[in-house]
Amino acid sequence: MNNGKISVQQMAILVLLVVIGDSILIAPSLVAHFAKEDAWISGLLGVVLGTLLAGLIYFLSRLHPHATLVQFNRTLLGKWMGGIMSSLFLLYFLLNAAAMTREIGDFITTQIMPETPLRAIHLLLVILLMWALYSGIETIARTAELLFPWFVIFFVVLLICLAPKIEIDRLLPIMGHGFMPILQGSIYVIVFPYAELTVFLMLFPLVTRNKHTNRDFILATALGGIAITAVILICILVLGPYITAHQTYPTYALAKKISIGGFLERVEAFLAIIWIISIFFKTILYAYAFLTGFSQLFHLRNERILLMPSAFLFFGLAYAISPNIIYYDYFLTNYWPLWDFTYALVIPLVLMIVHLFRRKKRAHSV
Amino acid sequence: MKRLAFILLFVLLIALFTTGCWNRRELNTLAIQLGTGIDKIGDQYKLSVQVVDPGEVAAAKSSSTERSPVVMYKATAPSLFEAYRTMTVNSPRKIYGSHIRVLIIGESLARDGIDKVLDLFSRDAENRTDYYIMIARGTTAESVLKILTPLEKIPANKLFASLDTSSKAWAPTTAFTLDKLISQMVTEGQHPVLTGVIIKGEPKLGETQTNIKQIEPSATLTLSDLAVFKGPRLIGWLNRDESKGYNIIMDNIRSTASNIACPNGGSITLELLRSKTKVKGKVISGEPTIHVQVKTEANIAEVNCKLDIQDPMTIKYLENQAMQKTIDLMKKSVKTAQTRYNSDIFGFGQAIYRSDPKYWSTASKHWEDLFSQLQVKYKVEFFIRRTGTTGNSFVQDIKG
Repeated sequence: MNNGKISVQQMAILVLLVVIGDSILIAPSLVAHFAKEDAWISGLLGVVLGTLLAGLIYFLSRLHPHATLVQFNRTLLGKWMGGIMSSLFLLYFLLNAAAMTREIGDFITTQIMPETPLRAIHLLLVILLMWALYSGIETIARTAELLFPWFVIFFVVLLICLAPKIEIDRLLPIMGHGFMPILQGSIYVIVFPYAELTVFLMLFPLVTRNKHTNRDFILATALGGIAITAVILICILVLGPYITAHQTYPTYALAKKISIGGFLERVEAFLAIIWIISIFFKTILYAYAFLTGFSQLFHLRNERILLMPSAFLFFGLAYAISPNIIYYDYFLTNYWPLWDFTYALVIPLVLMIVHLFRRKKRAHSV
Repeated sequence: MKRLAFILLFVLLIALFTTGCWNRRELNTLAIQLGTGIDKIGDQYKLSVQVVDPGEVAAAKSSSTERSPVVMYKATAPSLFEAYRTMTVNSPRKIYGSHIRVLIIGESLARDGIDKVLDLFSRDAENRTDYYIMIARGTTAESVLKILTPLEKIPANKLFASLDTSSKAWAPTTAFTLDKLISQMVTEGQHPVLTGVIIKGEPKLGETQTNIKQIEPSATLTLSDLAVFKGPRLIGWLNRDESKGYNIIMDNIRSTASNIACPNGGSITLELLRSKTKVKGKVISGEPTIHVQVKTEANIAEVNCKLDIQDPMTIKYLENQAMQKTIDLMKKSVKTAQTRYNSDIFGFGQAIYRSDPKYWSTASKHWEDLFSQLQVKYKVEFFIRRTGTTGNSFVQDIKG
């Protein structure tokens, strides 16, 4: 589990999956709620601003190329302050992993299997999650590499099959409500895809770097954002802004619209595979970050003893994190962005400032 | 050894979960509903569903059995979902909603407002949005769903196929699915229309198997013209020409037949091949105007008069006539919507909003008044391309 190595290509794929992650399912609804017809402009704006944020996270990791976030915290802030800082991040990783498990559970019980208890689905997911963590990061990365072509194929099929249903008029008027709603909408394109790249602070040291690493990272983040924007755009073009904003899972409603020649239809469950792939890999990486971070913080020799206890933790938290879907959505819309920004923007900036300050001081003392 | 035991345990654990879905339902436990009808009785809803009897429609079987291919279940309850569940007291299987083809709403319910009955259909996970919605004109949804139909064994399928075919080949009908209807009801500056369905003949005789044993059934289901809504409420019907005009403006025409009178008696019928309409809103010095641009291509399909159609001037003349007729149809339709119903079924308000959202934010409050006096400018380009397999009709050469 420890000391795994991942190639640059694998890193790029994981970055892309994290960026697309749960946003493919929920972003269209959140963005269209604010920006209406202009949701796709929000998407583009989000890609630009989000890639900058991703660059910031990447820059922070380059300050300590061989240390994970937890190790960096220790050297930078010392044992106690660093430990507290790392604990905060561990809490963040834990809650995110649980929230995303819940998201898959909610999606499946809402759309596909309404009478199945949520916990039955969570149990399956957690078992799979533990299996992935038991196998280690290299296996996880290789599995992502294997599933990625399917992800791309299904994604492209989704977009192409919907082309006949497009009505360009739905995009008009452009910027009819001014700029503010667009900015508000773009927050959700920045937060859930990009701010949650924080998890890579635990993964970057494992990447076997080559001369394309920087370029591939930025390319993957931008591509992921463009994929989300494409989904938002197609939602608006096919469903219209009202239906997009009022569906819990507009992308699923979108897949239901596919009907080609009277025989290629009812493929939505098939397409649900792609967002389950992306959300689940995001969940795995968060759970991985939590486990490795925990063992690094407390200098555990064997990480695997954490598997069982954290399985119970994820299972319990995923269920306890919200009493119902209304609470979850309310929380996700109103408070989660701030929670994400704290860990992706505020704390990294603080760390960077402390780092620069320390270096200057050291340079003086020498 | 320990590892092997662990793997074995894991495999056993997986076996536990691979038995199938938690709430799986086998085909033989489902009652697949193809048609749904809703009427209102007092303050309760009467739900009638047409469920297919799978044994009766199986392809291998000869069609001479005495059993009806579909069964109807009915229930009355304060809410639709309750009605669905009430049905289990007389249906041996649970009603399954994923395969609905048509949703029929009784006219009296439609006049009260259809908004309250549609929520279930958009909320329930079983439902899709690819079926058509129709209004049972002058009758109840229940009686429409009771008529047995020839050719298509399942009446709900027949309605779906009829509307599907005729919306492609005949101008006055249009197919409406649930999501389109909901979008139009919630969009400012736009009101929906729905196609109506009527029972022609003797409804009572149509309910029995004998109906489809005759060459000409005693009762048939026929699509009627369009129902005009204002918000969720049905307020009236368009006639055939007005329905045609509506569909021209809404760019719903794929193909249709159009008749033009000849100058010296008789008529020429054109087959429309392609038609494209663009509706643009413009606000010029605070005055909203709508520009409707139509571009149509047609062939001559039938000639019943003495007209030299091999003369290019005649074609020009016919094109002009057809153009004038198209404009007349649209004008009639708009006029009815403006004066009789005052309901913006064309989405002209939307067109204004799309071109000038600033103006719309103030105009939307009194759009009803503005709509009734809205200036609409038409521009039609009509092209006759071919004359079929013959030139001039033999009609003019008949000795006589």
